[in-house]
Amino acid sequence: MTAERLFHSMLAQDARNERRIFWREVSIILVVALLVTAYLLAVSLRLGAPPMLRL
Amino acid sequence: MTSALAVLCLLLVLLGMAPTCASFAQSLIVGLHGIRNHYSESGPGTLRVAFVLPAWNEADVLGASIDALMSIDYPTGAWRLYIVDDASTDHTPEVMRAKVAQYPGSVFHLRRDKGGQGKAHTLNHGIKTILAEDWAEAVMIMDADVLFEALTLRRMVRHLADPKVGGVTAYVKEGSDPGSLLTRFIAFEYITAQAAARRTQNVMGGLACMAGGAQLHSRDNLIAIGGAIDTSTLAEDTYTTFRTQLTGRRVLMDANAIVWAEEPDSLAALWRQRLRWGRGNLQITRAFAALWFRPDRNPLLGNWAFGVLWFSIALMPVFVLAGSIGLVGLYHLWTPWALPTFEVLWGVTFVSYVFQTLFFFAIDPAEAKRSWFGGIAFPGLLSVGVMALALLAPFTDLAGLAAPGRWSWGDILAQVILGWSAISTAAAWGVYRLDKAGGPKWLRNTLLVLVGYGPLLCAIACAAIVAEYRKTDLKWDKTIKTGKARIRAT
Repeated sequence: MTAERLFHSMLAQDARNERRIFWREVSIILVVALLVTAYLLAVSLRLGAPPMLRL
Repeated sequence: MTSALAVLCLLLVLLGMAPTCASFAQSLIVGLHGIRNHYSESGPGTLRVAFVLPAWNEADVLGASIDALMSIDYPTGAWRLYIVDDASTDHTPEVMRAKVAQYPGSVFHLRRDKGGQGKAHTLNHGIKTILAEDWAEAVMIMDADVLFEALTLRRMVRHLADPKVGGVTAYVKEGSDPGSLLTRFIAFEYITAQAAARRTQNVMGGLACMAGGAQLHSRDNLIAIGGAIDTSTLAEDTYTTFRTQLTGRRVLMDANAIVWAEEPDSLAALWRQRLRWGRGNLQITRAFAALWFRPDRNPLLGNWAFGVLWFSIALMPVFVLAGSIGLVGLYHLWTPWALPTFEVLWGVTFVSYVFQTLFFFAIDPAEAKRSWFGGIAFPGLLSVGVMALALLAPFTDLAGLAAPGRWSWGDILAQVILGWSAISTAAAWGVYRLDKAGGPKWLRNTLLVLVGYGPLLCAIACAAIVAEYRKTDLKWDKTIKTGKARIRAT
């Protein structure tokens, strides 16, 4: 493989990896946000208000 | 008066949340590296690269590092290796001579007659020789135990096609084989501190540190920063990184350029290494005091975000102590606020822990497969228990378990839980002392899993602050390597 082709193939591979990390992060943010919302909802149902507003 | 003190305690708790919030925010930015990176400005050039490898008593690791370098995918004749022997007293000179003979024209042997002054002096001996000739277009500073993957040099060199870039660093991965609990903690730490944090710093534009084990500089950059590495601090790599950026050149990390290194397998060795790093960072903090939170001085290193991230690590023990004092203080002064504040502090910590652990596994799945337990137990299983308690608190009657002022077991337990951040840091120091005293490894490992690797790093940062305050001798304390590192399939 010529240096030029190797460069472009590496670049494509690495850029793909970075984009993959971006989408993984988006998915994990969504999952964690969903869990946090469910938790806060459960707390609200139990106590009527989020912890800091309970006093 | 009591109310004022209680408000102060609340502020201390907020201060205690700073490192968690800073690292959480930092990890949220990592993914943007997929959109904002330097790849589009890189180019396919093949610069002539001079590797400079400082070696002081490195006979056990040198041969493997040189052999790994000989397997890199880079045109023969376009790179050279200069090994600078810092007056070694072991078999390093023999190993070097053998390698010079084995790879003629590629490996060069330089020797300092007077050694023991530290890595920066040894590097400078090599850099001076390299810059005196006009062959090298770029200089790669590396450590004796570092193993380069085949395409790492190409991945780093491509960024120097952009004349605005002065330096490039790689992702240093823990490569000990066989590994141990401690090296798996370190492996996970390197995902957080390098693969994640440095991607964020790439996005923000300013890098805190080019790893000393793989630091590529353009020739122009090395000359611009004085043609030598700083010898006044214990963090010569960070100093060089700052100087490069202050001369107007960009520094970045290519997270896909990977090198492997052997990391300490005993708490005593880890403590020495990290104490050096911690003290070095405090020296850098002082050396560049005029820069912090002053974007007018330097828009990259002087901006607020960079300053907050820097100080949240350099002064972590101060924040941890503030948070614990704040919570225990609230418990005594304004009891009804103590539990909700505890729930918020540890609840946020839990969210940050879950998100970061999952995400860091996703950044480097191959490493996660090997060091997943290090990731889960990173804050310590007891801390995970405290987080669980904070989450369950709204569903239980924890407030009824203890009341301040009436000394009881419940009361003591409540204060231990509220002050756990600081207590776990002290406990981590205890684990280090146990290991140093020759305590059994199984006990050390069990306690480390319970107390956590994060608190251990915090304890070392605390020791660094104390050592700097006391102005303890600045001694270059080399980390002993035994040649256990291997390149793993990624």
